Amino acid sequence: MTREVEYTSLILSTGALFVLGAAILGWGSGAYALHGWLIALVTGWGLFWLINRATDPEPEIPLEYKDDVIKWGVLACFFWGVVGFTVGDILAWQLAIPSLNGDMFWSNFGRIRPIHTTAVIFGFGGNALIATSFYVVQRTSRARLASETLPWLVLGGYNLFVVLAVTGYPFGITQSKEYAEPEWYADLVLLVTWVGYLFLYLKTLARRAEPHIYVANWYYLAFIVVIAMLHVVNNLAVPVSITGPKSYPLFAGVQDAMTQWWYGHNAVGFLLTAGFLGMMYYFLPKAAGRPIYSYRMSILGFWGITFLYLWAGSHHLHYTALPDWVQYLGMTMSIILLVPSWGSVFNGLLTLNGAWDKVRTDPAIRFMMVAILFYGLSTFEGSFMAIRPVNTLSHYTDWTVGHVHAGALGWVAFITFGAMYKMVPWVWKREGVYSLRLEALHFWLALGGTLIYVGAMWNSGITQSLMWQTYEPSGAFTYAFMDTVDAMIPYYWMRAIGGLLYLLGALIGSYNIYMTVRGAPRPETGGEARPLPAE
Amino acid sequence: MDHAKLERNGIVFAMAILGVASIGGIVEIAPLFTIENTVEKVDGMRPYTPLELAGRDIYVREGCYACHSQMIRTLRSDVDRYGHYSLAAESMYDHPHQWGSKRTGPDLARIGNKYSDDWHVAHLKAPRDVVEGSVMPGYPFLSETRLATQHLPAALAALARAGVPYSQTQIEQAENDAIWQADIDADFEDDLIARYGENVQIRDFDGNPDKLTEMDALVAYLQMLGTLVDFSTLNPEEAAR
Amino acid sequence: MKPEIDPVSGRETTGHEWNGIKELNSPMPKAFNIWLWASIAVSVLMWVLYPSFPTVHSFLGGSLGYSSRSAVNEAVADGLRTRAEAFSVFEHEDIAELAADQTLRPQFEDQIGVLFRDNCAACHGRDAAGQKGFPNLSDNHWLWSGTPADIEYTLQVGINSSNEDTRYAEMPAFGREEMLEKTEISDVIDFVLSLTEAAHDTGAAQRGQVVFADNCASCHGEDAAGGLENGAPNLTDDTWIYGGTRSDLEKTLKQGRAGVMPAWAGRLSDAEIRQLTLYVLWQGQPDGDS
Ligand code: HEC
Ligand code: HEC
Ligand code: HEC
Ligand code: HEM
Ligand code: HEM
Ligand SMILES: [Ca+2]
Ligand SMILES: [Ca+2]
Ligand SMILES: [Cu+2]
Repeated sequence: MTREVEYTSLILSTGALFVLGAAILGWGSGAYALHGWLIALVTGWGLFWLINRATDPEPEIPLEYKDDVIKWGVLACFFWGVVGFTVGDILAWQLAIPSLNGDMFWSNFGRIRPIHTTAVIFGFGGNALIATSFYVVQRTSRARLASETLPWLVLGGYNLFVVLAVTGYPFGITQSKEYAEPEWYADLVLLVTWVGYLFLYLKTLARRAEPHIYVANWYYLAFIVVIAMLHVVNNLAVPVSITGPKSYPLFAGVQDAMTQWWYGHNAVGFLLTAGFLGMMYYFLPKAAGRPIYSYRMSILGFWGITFLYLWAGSHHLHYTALPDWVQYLGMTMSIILLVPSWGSVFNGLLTLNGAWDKVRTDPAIRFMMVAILFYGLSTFEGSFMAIRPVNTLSHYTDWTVGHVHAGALGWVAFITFGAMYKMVPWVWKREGVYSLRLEALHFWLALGGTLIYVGAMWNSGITQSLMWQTYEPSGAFTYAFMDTVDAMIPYYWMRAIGGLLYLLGALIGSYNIYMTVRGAPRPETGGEARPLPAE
Repeated sequence: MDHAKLERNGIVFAMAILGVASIGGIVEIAPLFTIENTVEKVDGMRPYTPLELAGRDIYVREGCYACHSQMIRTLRSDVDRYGHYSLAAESMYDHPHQWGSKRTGPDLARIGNKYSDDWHVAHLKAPRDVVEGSVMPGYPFLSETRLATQHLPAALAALARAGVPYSQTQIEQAENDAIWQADIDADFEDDLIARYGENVQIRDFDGNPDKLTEMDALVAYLQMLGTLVDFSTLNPEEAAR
Repeated sequence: MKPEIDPVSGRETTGHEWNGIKELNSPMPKAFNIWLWASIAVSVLMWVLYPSFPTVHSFLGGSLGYSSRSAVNEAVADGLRTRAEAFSVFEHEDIAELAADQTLRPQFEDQIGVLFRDNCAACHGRDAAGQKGFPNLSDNHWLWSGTPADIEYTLQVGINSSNEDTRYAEMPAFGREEMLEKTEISDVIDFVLSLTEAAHDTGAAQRGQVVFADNCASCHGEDAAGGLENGAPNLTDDTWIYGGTRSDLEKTLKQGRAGVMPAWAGRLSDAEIRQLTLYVLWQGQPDGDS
């Protein structure tokens, strides 16, 4: 594609978002109008920048990897991580000490809970994936990113989406669809951004010098493609009017519930799982200096997950008004799903064969190894919870929350920290991480925090569901609902403390990364990996 | 197929992913629109009145679904505690559904008429003042905030576009209907009943007859939850699916 | 490229390399294949036994003919039978006799207490002692007679509830409806305060007594002690639903009161309502062990 075509389409799509922002700021009021301003300012700036570059003479493209944008992705990842963990812990304390809600309109549990989920999943997780995917696709293709402008627009547009999302919730701007709460206009921003991401990724792959596409890229690609599909279908909605943020999702009731959890489960499957498996498939063998254990296992794992995950969403709706046949399909597919999931677990762990000593000496590898263990644990747990009778014990309770955080804290965040401790020195060309001792401290705080959190939630979840279901021999209930609320309080405290440890670890990690970046560059050896010249 | 070939072309690989990944959704979602007994045939369901809809929007806005389910499962302990298991028909006008995924507080699918308006108002303002040990946040600002009604015709129209059977009159009268439903003295009961049927509850809900507040709307919504369907007309044989 | 051999595992690689990363060509472990096919087999079996794949207008129903809804209907019916048996004493025709039976309380109080906490405690408190706006049920002061049968009826139909047969009791809004002058209201408040020997202005109370006789006695009784079984409370006993301070009373007289006690018929079974009736009565009796 020529430079002209590229710039024209970029300017047109950025321009379209600018018009959207202008319309919102013109007709809207309150927080919604502020969002209009935000969209218009950011895209306006983008337009200005694009037009400037388009009219400049074509710059010389250096024969090296395009890493500057990755640095900003890392920054965004840590920023949202700290925000998300902090809000998560505030939520935890709000349940332990309800008066912390403060009764202000913007601060209550229901309004800030999605700030937490969005900041950690999309802000922290999403930026980690974008940053590492840019890194990995270049290295494994021996090609520079296929555009000089698009990576910036993808990262910028994506973070604009996250900002719109988390600043909307305290003002009540939400569709209430879990993990898809942002309203239609933010959804549009993400859609445009995502098309650009997909295009950039495919185009960079097309430039590759290696004959085969590496496994990590299969996963990143699946993450991009499937999230695009899910995002579009689950966010179909009818806006009420341009003067307000409100829209009504197109589907209702049982169809909406199924669509929502088809989305919800696969946001887990393709954002929190596939994307991070891509990360694992690059950073683990790279850091350990060992080959991937089995190519065939990679294939089975990949296609197993890609096929089966999309069937499993109905395990979120066991015993509901969703017809039985869908529940049974979801349950059985979730059971089979464990096999390819553990395929990746074995592939990861056995890749460490011959490098086990490094688990002791290198905290980054330790992060990654523990991540894989938690991945194995949470997928086992997930498949177990997907069995209908088991689900009667977990659904609606903290067991689900414990499962979520075994996956989120133990897998998603651990693999991210491990990869970041490797990638940051590589991208910034530093000798190594600022302090291995702080890195190890981070590891232990994170591990301790996770175990306390998850342990507390298993206990509280199972306690609560058992209390709900316990009958006297006479057939009367043994406990009233409020008795179960009372019983949760000690666990809420434990969770809040575990979360605090985790947050503390993340703060230490951020400091360590910051000091690494501030450190002295490593001297050039001349042997740096470089892309092959594009033909 | 030879996987090595697939690995050589990014676009083909992406198409393969899309193809393989769409199957599950197509098989599980599309038939929900075509299999007839997915949404049961029952008597009594009607679209929300404008006031109830405004209340529901507040419920969504405040994120009550983060702690409350509205889905009584087909489990003995759910039915014994909360009442008849929820039907798909009961949320057929719910754009989006509020089934929830967490029960930090009790299920609300049949909360309508379980408590009084006064109790709801007191509870929503300061839950721990009425329920010792509650962990629910307080929403005192709802009683002070005037309910915005001017967007209601557009809201009903948007829902009509999404398939809710609102008539043209219902859309045009939405603003008035919202105001009248919270004002027994307005004497428009007959109009409301003509448009929405016998089981519309008409009264001042927030204990402040001089003002139409967000509390009026939210309580009106809570008080109708689970009150519509006439279960005596439900055929258990047909409902089993 | 010829596949090389990994020195650690002795396995062949696939011959590809990405920035230094290689892959081994290890075969799938046998156990893995078995596990995969076993899970598929289990799933296929489930699809045969239980509802599974959709057709265009229907779905495969499964050979067991299972349905969650039929299953829960049975389970609930079973539970009802168990309870009917365990609580069969409560089906006795004369509820007054049940109320007099001292043996029931130790046996059933805890179990019925759960029902009370799930349905009634929100208003009347976990200990049934009430709270502002919601009467104390454990003090033996009754708005409506207090006989077991009357209490049972109150639970069935409620007070000012949405039930067709509801008991109806309204304290008029003397202030808002301008039925009384401001001074008259203030005077009658002093009179009401005087009934419980709370701080009051004696002169005003004397004037208020006249107002009371003209406007209030019809409901609250000549002696203001209620008991007329019309829902109007006793004003002389120093227990208050809405509070007994001057400003509480002002509010009561200005705005009126019509407390709502929901109707439980339909939501709770007749048996459960009867159990709760006795539970409420027990709360006012001294020999409680819980
Ligand atoms: C932090 C969690 C939380 C949030 C958010 C929350 N609730 Fe609750 N809710 C509870 C708990 C716990 C209870 C049980 C204790 C009580 O009655 O206060 C409860 C009880 C209730 C009840 C009484 C249910 C019954 O059967 O006794 C209603 C009605 C209710 N909530 C409505 C709401 C509404 C409306 C919102 C949003 C505006 C909301 N809640 C937000 C936790 C929450
Ligand atoms: C929504 C709040 C609420 C709930 C829930 C509630 N009540 Fe009441 N109840 C009231 C109010 C208010 C009154 C007093 C009505 C009045 O002021 O006239 C009352 C009155 C009563 C009375 C009559 C007292 C008398 O002096 O005659 C009894 C008995 C009673 N309740 C028992 C129960 C039981 C048992 C339950 C549970 C099944 C229950 N209540 C649930 C609010 C409630
Ligand atoms: C039409 C009958 C009626 C008349 C007349 C009436 N009352 Fe009442 N009053 C009631 C009823 C019924 C209640 C209980 C309302 C409730 O519980 O919601 C009540 C409640 C009260 C209370 C609140 C008691 C508490 O426990 O908080 C006070 C005080 C009171 N009345 C005083 C008066 C006075 C003074 C007058 C005359 C000026 C008066 N009432 C006239 C029926 C009446
Ligand atoms: C300091 C660390 C964290 C703390 C203290 C924390 C705390 C919480 C709390 C209190 C909730 C609400 C649970 C409820 O509603 O009862 C929650 C929900 C959630 N959190 Fe976290 N969290 C943390 C980190 C993370 C991370 C890193 C992720 C993801 C990468 C994550 C993802 C989620 C998700 C998806 C939910 C919603 C769960 C559900 O709906 O079942 N959290 N978290
Ligand atoms: C084989 C893999 C997995 C299966 C079969 C699975 C299954 C399940 C099941 C059955 C539930 C409970 C649904 C309910 O009762 O409401 C659940 C919830 C959840 N799982 Fe998993 N899980 C898997 C892996 C993961 C992983 C790796 C994560 C990573 C973070 C994760 C994140 C979540 C989240 C966020 C929820 C909560 C959804 C909500 O209610 O808001 N899952 N999962
Ligand atoms: Ca959305
Ligand atoms: Ca009002
Ligand atoms: Cu899931």
